[in-house]
Amino acid sequence: MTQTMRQFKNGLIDQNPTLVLLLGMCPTLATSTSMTNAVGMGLAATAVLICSNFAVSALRKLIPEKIRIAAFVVIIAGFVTAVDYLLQAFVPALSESLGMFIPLIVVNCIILARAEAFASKNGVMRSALDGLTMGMGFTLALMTVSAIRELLSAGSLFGFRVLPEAFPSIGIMAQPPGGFIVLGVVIAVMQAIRNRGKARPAA
Amino acid sequence: MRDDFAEIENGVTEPAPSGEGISPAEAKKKRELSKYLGVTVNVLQALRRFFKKDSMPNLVLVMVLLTSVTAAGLGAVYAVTSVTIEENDQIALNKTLNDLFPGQALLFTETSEGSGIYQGRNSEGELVGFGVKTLADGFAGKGSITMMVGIDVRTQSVTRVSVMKQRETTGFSLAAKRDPFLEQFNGRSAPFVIGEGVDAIAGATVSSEAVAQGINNAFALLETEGSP
Repeated sequence: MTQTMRQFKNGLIDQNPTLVLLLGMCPTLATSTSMTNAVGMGLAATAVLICSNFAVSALRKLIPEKIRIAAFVVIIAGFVTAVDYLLQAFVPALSESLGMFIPLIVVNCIILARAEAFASKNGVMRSALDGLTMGMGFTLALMTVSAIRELLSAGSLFGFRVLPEAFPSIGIMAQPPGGFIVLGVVIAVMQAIRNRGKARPAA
Repeated sequence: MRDDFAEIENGVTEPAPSGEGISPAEAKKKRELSKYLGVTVNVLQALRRFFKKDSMPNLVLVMVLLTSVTAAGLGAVYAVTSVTIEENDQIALNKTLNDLFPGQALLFTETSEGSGIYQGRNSEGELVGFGVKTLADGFAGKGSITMMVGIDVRTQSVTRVSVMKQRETTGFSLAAKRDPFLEQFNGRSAPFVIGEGVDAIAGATVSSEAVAQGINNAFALLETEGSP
């Protein structure tokens, strides 16, 4: 398996930031109420991840050890603010519905974790690819959770009605408790898939 | 660095090889040059010590450079997007205002900058109604609901209410944005009291009361400030 393939597998499955590393729980729970929000949030975070990983990797030799976290946060905050302006200008509806959660990408621990754990130790292209794969893992996890929540709470996907009107809507799914329940179930399913075929440890 | 310095010095102090004698003037020039070079080297070395990777001045320098570059970049992005963002806000505001008076194409102007009161005039320039922007104190705190109330000049009654922005609990109070609740106010005049002719949304009493209060505030605001 080439390193590129392994990076994709890591981002999407083995080290999926949301479902395996359990990073970025707050935006996951908050923005997974609808598919539109989930995709918007996922893509915004992915864009920031790619850019910040690229920049951190390029500057890794110049940034002194002592202030690296502060420097990373400045870099990340810069990209997040830029993304925020761009969304407000070109996708105002999405910007409105994601609201506070776009600026909050600054403190999304997935992004800081990748800057610290990967980009500050690897080359520029590898780091950018890491941003892409991790961002995809985050986006797919968000989409999975939000698809279940939107279907059960409103019977729709991307705002379009999918289930028949007769299907009862479960209001709690749109609210935080529903988010926790669905996220828990999705994480469990993910673990079951990853552990399939592995021998159980002896009791 | 030290070695370079020593070499230069040696080169001058050592006697010149025979045959290629250096005139005293040339030797003096060389000595002076070496002095300057020596000073330069010393300064450079001091600077290098000063800006060693983990020294405080270097930490400050790196952060200042990083933040300056980031700020400059953001300034550029802002310059490009701010025009569009303003246009979007204006378009959204115009749409909200026009939706308050369905079927009529009105031209809205704010009575004074920041008043939140917009005069709607038809194509003949006749004043038809007002759009009044008010904040209401909902479940999420002071000013958590921003709404626009359309008020007809002739009948002094609500034409429509539109909730522009709100940060009430997702799910429950979002219903305040849906029409059946808001439609109760249409064609009627303030004051509105929940429970007296206006029904609250089940499970969102606080938000409902906030909306009713907000509409009352809009009428009050128009009375005190907005008379044409």
